[in-house]
Amino acid sequence: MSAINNKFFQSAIAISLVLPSVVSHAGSFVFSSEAIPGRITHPNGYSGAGGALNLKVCIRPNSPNATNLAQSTQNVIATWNEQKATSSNLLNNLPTSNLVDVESVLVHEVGHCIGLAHPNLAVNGISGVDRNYTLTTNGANNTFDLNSGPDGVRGSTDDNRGDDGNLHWFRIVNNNPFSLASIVDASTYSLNINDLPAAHDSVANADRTVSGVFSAPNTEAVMQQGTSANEVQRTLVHDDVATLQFARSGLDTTAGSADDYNINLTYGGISNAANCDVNLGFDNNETGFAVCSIGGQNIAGSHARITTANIYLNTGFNWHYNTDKPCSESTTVPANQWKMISMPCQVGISTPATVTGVFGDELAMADLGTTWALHSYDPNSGSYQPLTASDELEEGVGYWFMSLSNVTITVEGQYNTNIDVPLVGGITTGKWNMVGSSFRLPIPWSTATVIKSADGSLLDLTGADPVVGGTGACDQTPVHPNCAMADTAYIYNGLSYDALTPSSGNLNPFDAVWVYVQQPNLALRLPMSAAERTTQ
Amino acid sequence: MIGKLLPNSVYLFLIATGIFLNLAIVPVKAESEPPVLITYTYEHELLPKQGSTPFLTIYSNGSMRAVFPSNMKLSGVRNAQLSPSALHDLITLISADTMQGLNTETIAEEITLRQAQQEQIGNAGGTMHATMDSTTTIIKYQQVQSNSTTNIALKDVTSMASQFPEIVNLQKIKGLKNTLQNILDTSEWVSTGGNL
Repeated sequence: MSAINNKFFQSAIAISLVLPSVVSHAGSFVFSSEAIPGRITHPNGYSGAGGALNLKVCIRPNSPNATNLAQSTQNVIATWNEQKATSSNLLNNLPTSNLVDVESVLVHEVGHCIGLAHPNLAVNGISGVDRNYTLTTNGANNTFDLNSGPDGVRGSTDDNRGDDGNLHWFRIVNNNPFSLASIVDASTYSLNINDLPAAHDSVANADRTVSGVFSAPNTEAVMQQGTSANEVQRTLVHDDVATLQFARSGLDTTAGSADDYNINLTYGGISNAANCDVNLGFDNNETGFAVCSIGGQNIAGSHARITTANIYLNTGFNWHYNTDKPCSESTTVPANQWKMISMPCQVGISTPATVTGVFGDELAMADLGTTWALHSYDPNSGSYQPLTASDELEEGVGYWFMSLSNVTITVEGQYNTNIDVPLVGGITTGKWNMVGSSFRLPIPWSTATVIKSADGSLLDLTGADPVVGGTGACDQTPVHPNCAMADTAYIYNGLSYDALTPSSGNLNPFDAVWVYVQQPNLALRLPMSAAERTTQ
Repeated sequence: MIGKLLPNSVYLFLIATGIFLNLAIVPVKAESEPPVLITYTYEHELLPKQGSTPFLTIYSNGSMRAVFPSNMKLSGVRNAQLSPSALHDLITLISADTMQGLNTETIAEEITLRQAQQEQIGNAGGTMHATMDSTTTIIKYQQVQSNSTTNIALKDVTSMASQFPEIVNLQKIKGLKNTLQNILDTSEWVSTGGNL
């Protein structure tokens, strides 16, 4: 660009951007505003009656690249239906650099189309890193008060936001957007900053920088703004799930009542049928990159619902279209040998999670229980359960497998991110749990983290099994009350058990282990390795 | 070469007689680039502010240069030539009296006013609208008749134009934006080999 034209360009940018500014159309829910900050927006079709809410997502027939969108659209539908909270959901594993992952963008836009807004300060007049602050109104002084507090992290709990009015629902007990209450409704989440934990000054949001503060690095809510080339962000974070679950608690914002609803997105194919609730496709006149354009109406009090939802993408970008089986891992199990196994790929999104779906290519379902076997373990009863062809397998859970002949098992699906595997404990007796790796590359057992579901606090293995009186709390007889989960796990080698300790041992792909759990309401997080994040 | 902007009538004459086309195929040295007729770019809320969207420059002789960021299919610096008829149409479009001195601030105020009304209607049970993940259109063009410059910077032009068809100037901006986007999308861009 010549100096002259560069100057021309600069002067064009230098003018103040003139933008509409009154109606924010923003909040943790779309249609919340300064006038009605607590407005909760529900998906199309919700009128206050509980039950299943079926929504059809369609691709416009006249859209360029319509067929390329099909797989990712179906994956996004499964992701939102599953509502599984994950962490470390920021991956950099696309085939080449400078690609933009269409599925990551679609999961964000579909979130808008079912009522969710940006958790971050996505308002006029705020740009750059200041957009990482938590969404608010500008308060009585008509100015956004932006002070990142002592930690210098925008959007964290110590921000000083002056008189700005909070628009982000937060978990009352811990203000941690990387944790999820077992019950999500107005008893556990609030918009009122007077409900913040005592030491907190501001509502935190699930921004990637904030994730480091909460010991959940490389994590960001899919509803947070921001897309980088070669970045993949296809799985939901606790904050995404919590916001949707909060809406699902209905007009009374009480979970478990008659007006609660479940969201069931279905794929309507490449269609312009009148009953398509969300329509998506490419149209460069509608957006410079991606947009969700929504219509809605109030239904009762501070509740609204979506009435129209359209997603547009711009064809000019170097879009990456996901496939149904980017993850494919195999292992060979010797004949007549029991093996503790787990799923190294995410099943249930683009590939079936059923026993048939996972094992059907290698093994005859008719022979399940005769020439080969697959069992789960119930920690509550301490008993094994033989699985049937239609049972669904879960990531992070361990299973016993055995075949009378040598068999190579291949698991196919999507790449996993960190999941929190619920553990079953028991104050008086403790329970054994079978857990497994959900990754393609080894995980050092020393990195295992125990999460206290009640408040979202994290324990490393030393914290979960502290030394008391010179001996590990979980090694004492009787087990010391400070034992949360034993720091040693056990894996079957075909003849006996090998120990994985805080100082040695990896969980390899397909590995599952026994862990001893003493306290209730815990979950186990096996953090993915750095290499897993970038490996195709 | 045309050293400075000429009156619109001269451009139209040159195009009509084919003279302009002949001028356009003369190699252009960087130091003697023709005057800029119009530039078009945009910002998007999901993308980094700098260097993540295309930037189109159309010169008064119809030659064009576009800089596409690395995450776009046409990544790099590219040149193309606008057809005489398309250049004519573009000049006609931006030379219209009603396109002179378009005041984006006034348009934005009109939108803001209507959005406030719309919100009240929505609160009372009427239809509400929201555009999530906005595009801000940024256009700058030279008025060939008055030799004045018009700057446009407006958010969500397409969806706002749909919602508020009564704002005439907004419809004009939408038309200009779509014209420029179409040029960006359909021109036969040739790489200059230049790096971003």
